[in-house]
Amino acid sequence: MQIPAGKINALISVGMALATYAMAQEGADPAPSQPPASSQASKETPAPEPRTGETPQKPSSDTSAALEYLYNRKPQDGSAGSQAAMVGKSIGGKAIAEDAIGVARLEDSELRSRFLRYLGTVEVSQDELAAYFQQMKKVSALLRDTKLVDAWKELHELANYQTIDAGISRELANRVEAIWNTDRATVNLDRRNEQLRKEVKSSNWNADQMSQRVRESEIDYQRRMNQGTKQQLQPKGAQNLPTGGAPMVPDGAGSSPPPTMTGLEGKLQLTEEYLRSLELKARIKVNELRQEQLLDQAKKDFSEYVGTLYNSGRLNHVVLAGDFYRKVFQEGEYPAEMQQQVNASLEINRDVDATVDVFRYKVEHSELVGAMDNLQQAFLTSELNPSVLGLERTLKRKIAEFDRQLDQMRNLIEARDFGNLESLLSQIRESAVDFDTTKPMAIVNAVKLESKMRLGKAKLFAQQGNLEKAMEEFQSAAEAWPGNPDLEDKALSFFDTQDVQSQTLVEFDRLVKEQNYREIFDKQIAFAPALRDDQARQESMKSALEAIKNAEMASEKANLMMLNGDFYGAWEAIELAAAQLPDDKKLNRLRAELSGRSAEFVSAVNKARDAEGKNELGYSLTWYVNAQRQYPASQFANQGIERLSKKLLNVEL
Amino acid sequence: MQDSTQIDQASNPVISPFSDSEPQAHRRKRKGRAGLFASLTVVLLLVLGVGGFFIFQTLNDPLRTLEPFPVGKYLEGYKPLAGSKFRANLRVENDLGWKEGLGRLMVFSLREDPRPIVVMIPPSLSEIYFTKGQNYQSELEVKEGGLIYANSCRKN
Repeated sequence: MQIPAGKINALISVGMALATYAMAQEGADPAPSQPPASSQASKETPAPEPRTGETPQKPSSDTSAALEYLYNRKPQDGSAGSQAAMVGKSIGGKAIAEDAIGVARLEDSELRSRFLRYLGTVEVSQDELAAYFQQMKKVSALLRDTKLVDAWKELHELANYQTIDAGISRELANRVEAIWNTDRATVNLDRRNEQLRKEVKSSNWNADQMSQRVRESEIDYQRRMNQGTKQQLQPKGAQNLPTGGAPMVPDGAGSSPPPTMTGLEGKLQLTEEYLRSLELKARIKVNELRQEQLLDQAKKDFSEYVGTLYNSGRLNHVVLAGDFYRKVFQEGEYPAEMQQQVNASLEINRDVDATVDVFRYKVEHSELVGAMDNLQQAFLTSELNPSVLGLERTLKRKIAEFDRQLDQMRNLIEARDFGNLESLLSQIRESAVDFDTTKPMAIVNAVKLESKMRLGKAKLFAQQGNLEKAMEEFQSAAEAWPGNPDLEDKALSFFDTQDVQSQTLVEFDRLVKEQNYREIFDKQIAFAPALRDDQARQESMKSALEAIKNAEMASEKANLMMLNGDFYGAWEAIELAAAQLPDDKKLNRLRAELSGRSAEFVSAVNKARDAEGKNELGYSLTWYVNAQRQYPASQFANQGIERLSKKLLNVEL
Repeated sequence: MQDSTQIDQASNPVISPFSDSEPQAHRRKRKGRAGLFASLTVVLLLVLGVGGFFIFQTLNDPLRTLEPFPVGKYLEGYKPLAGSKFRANLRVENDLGWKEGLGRLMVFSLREDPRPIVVMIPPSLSEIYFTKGQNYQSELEVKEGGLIYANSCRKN
C-alpha cells in the first residue's frame, strides 16, 4: 500500500509540532497549581489556587538543547523531510529566541494580551480608589454590626464604581438576596409544618375519643357476656396488638363476633385517625428535611460563589462575601475551604501591595527586567488590587516599551538579523541595567562564528572546484546569518570567480590555438585553478609550460654562451628552442640579436637548410661543411653533415 | 765600393779567385779550361732536358685547358656551374663516408680558397688513399643538386 506524499508530510509536520510541544511541556514548571504571587507562608499552607492563570516560565536547558539540535541540524533531502525540518526549524527558532531573551514573560496569548492592555490603560484615580474602598469598609462595618440589610444595600452602591468593581458587588448582593429567598421558602415550610402538627394533634384527640368509646362498648359488651354466658377471660396480649394499644376486634377463632356493627365502625375510624396522624408526622419530617436541604444548598452555592470570586481574583469581594456568609447563615466561622480562601485573599492582597512597591522601586532604578517580572506577578495575582489598578501609566509605559524591545529582539533573533540585534542590545542595556546580554550575545557570536566558518568552508570548496559543496556551504552560511556582511562579498567573489573562470577558460583555449605559450606561461597561476578538473586542458597547459621551460633554459644557455663569446653556440641554442616555439617573442628577439652577431655562420646554416629543403643535397652539404668549419661544435652542421652524407650515399644506390 | 766592383767586373769578365796569387805551370792551365767546358755542357744539357720535360708534361696535361674551380661562385650558387668541368688543386680535409659502387665523399679545400667543398670521389678512383693534408690535382664537375664529382685525381 502506498501512502500519499502529502499525508507523509502532514504526519511528519504534526509529529514535529507534537514533539516540540512535548518538550515545551516537559520544560514547564508545575507552578499553575500554586498561587502566582503567594508568600512563603501561603506556599506552606495548602491554599486553593486563586486562579488558573499561568506563571511565565523560562525554557529549560534541556528544551534549549533539544531545540538547538533541531535548529542547527541540516534537514535531510527529500520534500517530506525538508518540510518537516523547516517546521522544526521555525519552532526551534522561536524557542531559541525566547531562550536568548532570558526574561520571564507571559506565554499565554490571552493573558499576555490582557497584560499589554493593562500596560496601556490609564490608571484609576487614587480618589476613586479611596472612595471605593471606603465604601467597602463601610459594608464590612455594617456587617460587623449585624446590619445585614444595610450592608446589602451598600453593595449596590459599590457596584456603581464600574471601573473598579465591574458589577461584582451587585452580583454579590443578588447572591445574598437569593439566600434570603431560600429563607422565605423555609418559612413557608415552617408554617406548613405547624399546620400539620395541629392536624396531628387533632387526629390524636379524635383517636383518643374514638378509643374511649370503643373501650366503653367493649366493657359493656363484656358485662353482658358475663351476665349471659359463662365467664370468659378477657383476651391477653391486647397491648401487643398491631394497633399499638388500640382496642381490636377479638380474634374470630374460638371467640364470638362483636356484638354490634357500630362497635366495628368505631374501631375503623380510630385506625384511620391513627394512620392520618402518622402521615402528617411523616410530612412534617419531609418538610424539615427539605428545609435542611435548602439551607445546605444555599450555603454550598454561596461557598462556590466565593470560590469563583477567589479564582477570578476578586479578593476583596472574597473577604466581603465571607462576612456576608457568616451573618446570613448566622454562623460563627466560615467553612474550612472558605476560611482558606479568605485568608489567602488577605495574604495575596498584602503580597500584591508589596510586589507593586518593589516594582516602583525597580523602575526607579531602571531595573526593568525585575520590574516587569514583579508587575506580571502582581497583575496575574490580582489585577483588581487597588495597588495594581492605581499604578501610573507612565510607569507601565516603561514596561510596555521594554516589552516591545524584547519582542523586537526576539524577532531579530528569529530573523537572524544580528547586525541590528547588537545595537538593540546596547539600547536595552541602557534602559534596563539588570538585563543580562550574556546569552543573546553568546548566541549571536556562536551563529556569527558558524556563518563565518561555513563561508570559509565554502571558499575552500570553491577553490577546490567543488561548486556543489561550495553552494551548500554558502546557503548554510546565509541561513545561519542572513545579514552577514561578509556573505555578500564572498558570494560576489565566488560568482565573480566563476565568471572569471569561464573567461579564463576561453582565453586559455584562444592562447592554445594561437600557440601563444609564453602568455600561458605568464598567466599559469591564473589558469591553474580553472583547469583543475579538465584533463585535456591540463595536457595542453603542460605542453605549453614544457615548451616555455625549454625556451627559458635555452635562453639561459644562450646568455651564458654569449658571456663566453660563443655567439654561434648561443644562436644555435635559441634556434633550436625557436623550432619548438616559433612565435615566441622573447626567443625571436634574442634570435634576431644573435643572428646579427653570427651572420656568417647563420648564413651558412640557412643556406644549407634552404638547399636541403630544395633537395640540393650536394650544395647543402657543402654549406653545412662550411658552417662546421666556422663552428666545429655546431649541432646543426654536424647533424646536417651526417644526415646528408648518409642520404647522398644511400640515394645514389 | 759596390760601384767599383761592378766596374772591375765589366772590364774583366772572368776574374780568377787566384788572380791575386803567383801564376802556375802552363800545362795545368789547359786542363782547367776543358773541365770548365764540360761542366757547362752538362749543365746546359740538364737544363734543356728538364725544360723539355716540363714542356712535354705541360703539353700532355689534360687539365691544362680547364678553368680553375671557382669556389666563390659555387658557393654563391651552383647552378651556373652545373655541368661544367674544372680543375682544382685540392687539399684533403675530411672523409665523410664511402659506399661501395658509389664512391667516397670527401671534403677538400682549394689552394686558392680555404672554404671547403664536398667532392664525391667515384669508384674508379677508389684506389687512392686520401689522408688529411695531401694535395691532389683533380678535374671537378658540378652535377645536379650541386654535388661536385672528381672525374680524375692525381696526387701532386
